[in-house]
Amino acid sequence: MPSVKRLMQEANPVPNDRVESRERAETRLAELLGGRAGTAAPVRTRVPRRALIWGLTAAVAVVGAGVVGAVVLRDSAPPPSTSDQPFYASTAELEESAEAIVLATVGATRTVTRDGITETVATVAVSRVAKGSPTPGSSIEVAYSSSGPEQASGIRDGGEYVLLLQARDATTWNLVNTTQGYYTVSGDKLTPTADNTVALSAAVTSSLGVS
Amino acid sequence: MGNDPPEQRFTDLYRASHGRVLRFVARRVGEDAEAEDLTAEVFQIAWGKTAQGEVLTPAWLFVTARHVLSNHHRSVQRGDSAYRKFAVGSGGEPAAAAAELVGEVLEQLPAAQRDVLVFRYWDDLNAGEIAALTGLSASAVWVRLHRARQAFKRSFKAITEVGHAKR
Repeated sequence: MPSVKRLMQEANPVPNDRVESRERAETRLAELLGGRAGTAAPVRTRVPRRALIWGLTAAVAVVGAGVVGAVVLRDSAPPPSTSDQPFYASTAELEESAEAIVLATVGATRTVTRDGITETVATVAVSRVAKGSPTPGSSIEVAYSSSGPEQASGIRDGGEYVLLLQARDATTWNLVNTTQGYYTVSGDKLTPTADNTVALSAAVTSSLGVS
Repeated sequence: MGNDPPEQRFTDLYRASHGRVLRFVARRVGEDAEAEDLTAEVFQIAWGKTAQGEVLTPAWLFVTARHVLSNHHRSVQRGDSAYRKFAVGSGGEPAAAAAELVGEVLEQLPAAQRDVLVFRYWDDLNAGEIAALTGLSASAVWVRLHRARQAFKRSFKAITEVGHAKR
């Protein structure tokens, strides 16, 4: 079957690349502010390239909304991997997204299936911390998908990793995403996943004792 | 940003978000003129807040848009399925059939899963914006979206298999 994303976007009753009247929007703005609108240039609408392709398809196929005007498109941000997860284009964005960044060794793992979704829950031993509430010497649980297209397939029992984490609940952490949420440690060298071109900052790597 | 005069902050927010909010509303009322009026109401509220010194985000706009929609008499009458009627009635025959199938699948999903799919793929909201609308954490949004996609696939497969069996 086609991807869920494609099916949904093709059925979108109001495609996101629909042309809209900037003139009318600016008139409304002027009415609201009584002629005191800010002076900044109008913001260019963000439409990722893939969304544009699907949007154009959908615009032809689905809806003929008769609104006249102009839409301004911008070149896309770096594309995400194959998933719909967030993809962080810069070191700052990636590290900012993480509530915790730790150096840890994966111990026991177990598989949990809920609502037809299989996840792996790993107990990891934290050895160093660059950011967040985990403490060196503690153990935390990290859950990640092990079914479907978004899998952290490079994480192995006994492996050492730098993990970029977001809190799921009081006891469990998630990877920020399955392509940028972990870097494999070999010796003191970090290896990102194949789809991840974003390096960690010197501040983070030095605090974790890796390079 | 936060130190800019209110007019500048509001102008930036308006120009960055007006189209997104307008489409969000249009999907739920189905008529452009009505959607424009309701969107204007959202931004009127936003300007009132901004003039009082509050610093608003796009996520705040979507939450407010939902409140405005829920207060809108026709929206209440139509209920949550308004988007489906609009989708089915708007395209050519093949597109309408595809939209009808998607609508059928969506209606079989629990509301929480249906909402997160619509927020993500129709409204193009990011995790933070969906989190503001659903009360979930951003991480939980991604988990729910993943599960919603799996549920959508199962439902889609079941419906299309039934369709083939009938032929």
